[in-house]
Amino acid sequence: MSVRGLQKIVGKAVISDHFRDGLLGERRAELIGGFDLEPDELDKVMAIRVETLAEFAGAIEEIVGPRHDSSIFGHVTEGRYRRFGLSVAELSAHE
Amino acid sequence: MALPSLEFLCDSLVAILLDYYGIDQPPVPIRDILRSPPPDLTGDLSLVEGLPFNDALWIRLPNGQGKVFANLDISEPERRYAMARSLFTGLCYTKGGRAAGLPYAPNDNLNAQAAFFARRLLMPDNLLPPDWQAMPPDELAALFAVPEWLVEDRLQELVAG
Repeated sequence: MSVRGLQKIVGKAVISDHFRDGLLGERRAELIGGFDLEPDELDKVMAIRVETLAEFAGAIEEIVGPRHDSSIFGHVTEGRYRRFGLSVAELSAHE
Repeated sequence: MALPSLEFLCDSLVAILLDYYGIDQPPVPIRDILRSPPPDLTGDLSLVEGLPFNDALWIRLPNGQGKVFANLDISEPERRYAMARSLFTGLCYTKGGRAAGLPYAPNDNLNAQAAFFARRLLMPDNLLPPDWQAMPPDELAALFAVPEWLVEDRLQELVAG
């Protein structure tokens, strides 16, 4: 599995506005072509249907494998956002 | 829809930063990252070494520019670690960082979150030498230009998987 390639896609979406917009828009196939993904990984990434980058990153993490638990650092979860008085809907609105 | 874990976001950021700056051997050039950030982050990140207190902190100035201020009076390894932590804080305030689900800052756990990121950035698993498990912490600390205690913390993370 191209774990590093999948991680780089998410990382690049953080550091590049152009890449982030295209990834969530209609240029995903073009943009993910340079990350050395396996054919089945390309299919999975192309099949992701989300509205926010956070949801996209969560879906990529699901492709990578089992989620790790680093509890003291606080996962980015619905509960965590509620703790800070924010709902997931508000999270989307903040983007 | 599941949102990403902090661990996955940190590893994703480390992966793209190593790739973007062409880093394939230690030490990770944290100053280069802060002085020459990716184009879309130039308004969020820059570096001033001359903070007269503390170790380092990220601040958004009234003109909108985000800057990391680092204290020159601490050791180089400690300063690199402090700059890496402040880089994380700055990333949390970027448009892309917020969109990806990095923690809202400030928050009660920001210090721990920033330290978690900094350990992974300054000692990435793919930059470890082949015989890293046989190397003493002081040698690894010198190789990565980080404090020895950071090496011990990072090794615990790596061994735990």
